Amino acid sequence: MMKKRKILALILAMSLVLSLSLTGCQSVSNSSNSSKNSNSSETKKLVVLFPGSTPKDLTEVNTALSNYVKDKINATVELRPIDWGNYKDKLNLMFASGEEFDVLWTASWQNYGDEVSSGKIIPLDSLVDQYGQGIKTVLDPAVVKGGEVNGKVYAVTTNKEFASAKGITMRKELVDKYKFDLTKIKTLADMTPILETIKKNEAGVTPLQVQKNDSPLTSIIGGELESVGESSGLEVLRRADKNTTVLNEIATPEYMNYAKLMHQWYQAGYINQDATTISDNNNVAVKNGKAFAYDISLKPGIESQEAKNTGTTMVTVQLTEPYQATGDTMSSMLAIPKNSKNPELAMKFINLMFTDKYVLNTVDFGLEGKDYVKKSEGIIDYPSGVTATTVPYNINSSWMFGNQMISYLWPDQPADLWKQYNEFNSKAEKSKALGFTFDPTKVSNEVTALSNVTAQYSPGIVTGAEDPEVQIPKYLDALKAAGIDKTIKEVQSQLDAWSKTNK
Amino acid sequence: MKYSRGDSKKMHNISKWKSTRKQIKRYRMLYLLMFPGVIYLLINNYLPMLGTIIAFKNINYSKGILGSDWVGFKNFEYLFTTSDAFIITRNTLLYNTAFIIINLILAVAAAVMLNEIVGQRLRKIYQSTMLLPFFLSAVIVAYLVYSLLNPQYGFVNKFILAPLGLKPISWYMEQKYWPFILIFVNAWKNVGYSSIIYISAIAGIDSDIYEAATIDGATRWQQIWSITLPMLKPTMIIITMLAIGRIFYSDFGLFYQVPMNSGALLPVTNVIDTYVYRGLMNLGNIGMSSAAGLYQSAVGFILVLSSNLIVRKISPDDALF
Amino acid sequence: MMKKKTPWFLHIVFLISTFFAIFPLLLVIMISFTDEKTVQVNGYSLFPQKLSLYSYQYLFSDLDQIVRSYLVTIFVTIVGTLIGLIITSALAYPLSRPNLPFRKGFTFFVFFTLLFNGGLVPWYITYTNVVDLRNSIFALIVPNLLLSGFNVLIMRTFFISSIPQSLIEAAYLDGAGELRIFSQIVVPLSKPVIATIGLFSTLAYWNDWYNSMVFLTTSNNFSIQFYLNRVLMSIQYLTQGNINQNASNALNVLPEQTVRMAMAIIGVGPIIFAYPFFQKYFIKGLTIGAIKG
Repeated sequence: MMKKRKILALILAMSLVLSLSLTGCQSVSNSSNSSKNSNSSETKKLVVLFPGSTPKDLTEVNTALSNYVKDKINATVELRPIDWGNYKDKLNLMFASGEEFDVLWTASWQNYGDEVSSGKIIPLDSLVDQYGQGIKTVLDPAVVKGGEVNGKVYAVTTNKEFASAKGITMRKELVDKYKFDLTKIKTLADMTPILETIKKNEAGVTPLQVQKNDSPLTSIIGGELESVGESSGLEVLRRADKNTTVLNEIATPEYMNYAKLMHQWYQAGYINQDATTISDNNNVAVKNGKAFAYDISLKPGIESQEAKNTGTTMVTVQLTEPYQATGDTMSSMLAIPKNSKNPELAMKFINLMFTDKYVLNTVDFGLEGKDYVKKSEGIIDYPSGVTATTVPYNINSSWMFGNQMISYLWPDQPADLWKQYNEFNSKAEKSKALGFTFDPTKVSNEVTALSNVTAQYSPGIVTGAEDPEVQIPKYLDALKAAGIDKTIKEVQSQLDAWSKTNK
Repeated sequence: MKYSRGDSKKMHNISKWKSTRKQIKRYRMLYLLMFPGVIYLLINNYLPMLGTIIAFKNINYSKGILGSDWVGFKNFEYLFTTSDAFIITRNTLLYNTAFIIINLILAVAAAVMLNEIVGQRLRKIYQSTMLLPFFLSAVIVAYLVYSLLNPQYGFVNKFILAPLGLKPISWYMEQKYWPFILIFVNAWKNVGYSSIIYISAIAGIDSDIYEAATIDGATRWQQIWSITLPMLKPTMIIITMLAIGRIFYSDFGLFYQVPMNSGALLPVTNVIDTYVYRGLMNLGNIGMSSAAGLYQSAVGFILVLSSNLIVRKISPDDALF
Repeated sequence: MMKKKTPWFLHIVFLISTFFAIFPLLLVIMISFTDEKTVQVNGYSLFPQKLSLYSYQYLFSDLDQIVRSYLVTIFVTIVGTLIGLIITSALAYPLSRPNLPFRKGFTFFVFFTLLFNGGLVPWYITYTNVVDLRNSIFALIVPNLLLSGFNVLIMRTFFISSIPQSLIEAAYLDGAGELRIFSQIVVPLSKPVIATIGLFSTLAYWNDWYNSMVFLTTSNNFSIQFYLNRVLMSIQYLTQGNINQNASNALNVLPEQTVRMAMAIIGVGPIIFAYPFFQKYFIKGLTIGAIKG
C-alpha cells in the first residue's frame, strides 16, 4: 500500500516537474524581461542584428558602445551577431514570432527583395528625412535611390565601393620570373599564353584556379552582362546595349564564347580538375602554393586585400571598365524591421554610424587598446602579440556598416584608400537599371525550378569541365521547361514600368 | 415486457458503455501513467500542428501570420509543376524503398549473427565498432568519401584503378555509380544503430525456448529461422511501418553533402528535401517550405494507413492500430 | 549448457565490418593530428609527413566555452534521458495492455505525431509565445527530445511481446495494483528495452545542436555539438555560391581541414565511453531464463 502511494506520488511529481519546468522558465525569463523593462522605461535598448561570429569581448564592446551612445540618443545598444550558417533560419523565426529587434543588416543577395515584399522591413523615407541628416550628406543621392523598391527606400546603403571592374589576379613572383607583360592583356583570351607557360614550367601549380561558384564565366562576364532578375542571375541586360532589353544569359554569344574558352583551357590542363567539386575559395589554393591565378572583382586596395588572403604578393590585370550596377549599390545595407518598437531611435543610431567616428569604429573593430591600437591619425593595427586569428573582436565586417569612409585604415591598406574609393565610385559607368530591384513573388514557382536547373548544369559549364556545345543546348531546354521565358517576361515588364518612372 | 430489435441493440450498447466505464475505472492508474506523456505530445506536437495553416497562406509580416491572405494550394504548385517533379519524387521513393529493405535485412542479419558470437567480450567489441560510423556527421563522411573518390588524388583512382591499368573515373560527374554509393554509405552509417533494437529484442527472448528446441534436435540454423526471426517479427513490422511513414523525407546530409553538391549528379541525387532547399535558398517563403513538409507528411500518412490495413489482414496482432 | 563455437565465417564478416568502421575513424583522428599544409598538399593519409597539434590548440584556445558546453551537454543529456525514460515507459506500458479502453485511439494519437508536424515556425512559436523557453537550459531538454513517439512505440512493442499477460494477470489476482505491477514486475524485466531507449535518448541529446541554434541567442549555455558545428555550417553556407565577395572573405579565417576533423573527434569523444554502460544490458551471453510461466 505504501509502495503504491509512493509511486503515485512519483508520477504526480514527474508531471509537476514537467509543468513547472515549462512554466518556470516563463517566470524566469519574465523576471529578466521585467528587469529590462524597468530599464527601458528610462532608456530603450536597440538590438542590431547582422551575420558573423560572436566575438569574445562582445559584452564589453556593447557596454562601451551603450555608454557613449546613451549620451547622444538616450538609448543603449546591443550588437548581436548571428552565425552565417544559421542567419536565414534565425531571421525567419524572429520575424514569425514577433521578437523585438531594431536594426537589420541586409543585401540584395540576401533576400532584400523578399524582405520588402513580405513586409519584414519598413519604408524609411520619412525617418531618413527626420533623423538621418548625416546619411543624406554622406551618401550620393543616386546611391540612395539605388536602395529603392517601388519608389520607397527600405534600407540605407553602406557607404563603400559601389562599383566593380573585373579582372585576374596573379602571383607576382611568377609574373616576374617569366617576365609576363601584363600590359598586353586586354581580354580574357589574352591570358592563354601566360597560362601555357605556367603549365609547361611549373609542375604542381594550377595556372588558373576555378570553382563552380567563382570562375571567370561567373565573374568576368558580369562586367559585360548585368544581372537584373532573380537570384540565379539568368536574366541580364547587356551593358553595351543602349536599350533595356532583358536577355537570357545562357543564350547570349558572350556566354557561349567564354564557355568555349574555359573548356579549351580545362582540356589543356590550365584549370584545376576538381573545379566542380571543391568549395574552398580560390585563394586557398594560391595560399598553399598550388595555383597561380584566379578571377577577381577589382576595387581600390584589392591587391593588398588579396595579398592578405594568400600570404604572397599579388598583381592584378583589369579586363573590364568599372561599372556600377544595382547589385553593387545594394550589396550591403541596413534596414529597420517591422518588429522594432523604436524605429526613430534605430534611425538615429544608423545615422551615428554614418557620422560618428567612435561609434562606427567600435562597431567595426572593437575596443581601443584591446582589439586595436592607434598607430597614427586614422591608421590602426593589432596590439602587439595579437593577430587576425587571436583578436577578441573578430567580426572583420567593416563593409557592412554605415560610412566606411570614416573608419580606420590598416597598415597594409593605402593611406588614401577612401579617396581612391570616391574616385572609383564617381568615375564608374552607371548602369541604366541602377536602382531597379526585381520582386520575385509572382514567379516563385519558376524561381525554385530554375535554381535547381542552374545547380545541375552551371558547374560543368562555368568550370570548363563539360563541352559547352553539348551542354548549353541541354541547359537551355531545361531552362525553358522550368519557365525562364515567364521570368524574363516578368523582369522585362517590371523593368519597363520602373524605367517609365525613373527617366 | 417485449423488447424490439432496436431496443435490444440500444441496451446492448448501453451495457457495452457500462462495461467500458467499469474498465476505465479498473484501469484508472494506467491512465494516470499516460498523463504526462500525453500532455507533452499535446504541447510539443499537436499544438504546433495548428501552424499548418502557414502552408495555405501568403505570409506578409506587416499583417502577421493570422492576418495574411489565404492562397489555397498555390504554395504547393512548385512541387508538381516543375519539370523535375517526376525526378525528385522517383529518386526519393526509390532510394527510401531500397534503404528500408536493405537496412532491414542487414540490421536483422547483424543482430542475429552477433547473437551467434561466442564470448561476451568479442561480441561487445564487434557491436560497438559497428556503431562507430553513426557518430560521424554528414560533412565528415563527405570528406572521407571525397578522399576515396577524388578524380585526381583519390584513393580509388590512384591506388586501385591506376595499378590495374584502368582509366581514372570522374566519380563526381558520372551518375550511374551513385545509387550504389549512396545505398552503401547509408547502410554503413546506419546499420550499427538500427541493429541495436533487434539485438535488444533478441535479448528479451526466453532462452528456455532455445534449450527445448535443441533437445528436440533442431539445428542452430533451424532455431534462428523458426524461433528468432518470428519473435522479431513485431519489431520488424513496426520499424518498417515507421520507415514507410517517413518515405518522402530524406537524410539531407547524405544527398547534399556526400555528393559534394555536384551539379552533374543531380538527376540521381536530387530528392524532395534537397530540391526544396536549393529552390527556396534565395526566397524567404515559409509558406512554400511549410507546404513541402505537409506534402511529405500527407503521403507518408496515407502509405502507413494502407500498409497498416494490409498488416491487419495478414497478422492482426502486429498491426499498429 | 551447450558449448558452441562461433562459425568461422561470422568472424570474417565481423572483421570486415570492424575494418570498415574503424578505418575511417582512424583516418579522421590522423588528419586531426596532421599539419594543415601537409593535408592541403598531400591529401589525407594514415601516415602523414608532418604532425601538428594546431587543430586541437585552436579549438581548446576557448577552453572556458568548451568546458562549459561539455558540462551543459552532460547535464542536459543525463537529466533529459532520465525524465524522458520515465515518461516514455509510463506512456508505453498502458498501451501494451490489450484490455485498456481506447487503447487503439491512444496508440494512433502517439503514432500520428511521427507523421505530421506543423513545421519549424509554429513549433518555435509554441516554445516562445505559449511557453517561453528562450535562453533557458530547459530549451535544450524539453523541445522534441524529451519524448518521442518512436521510442514509445518501440517500448510498447517490447512490452507486448516480452511480458507475458499471464504474469500480469497472476500478479493482479495476488492483489497487486497497476502501479506496483509496473514498477516491480514490468520494469525489471524490461532492462534491454530501457537500455536501448536510454541509449537512443542519450545519443539524441548528445548530438543535438538544433535546439541550441533555435532557442539560445544571448545565452552561452549551448551544447557542445552546436559549438563545434556552427563553424562547419557557416562554412557550408558561405561556400554555396551567390555570396558576395566581401562575405566570402570571412571564410579565410574559418578553420581548415584539420580543425574540422578535430571538431568531429571532440564531438564524439565522451559518448564512446558512455556507450559500454548501456551495452551490457542488451548484449548478453548465454542467459538463464528469467521468467518461468
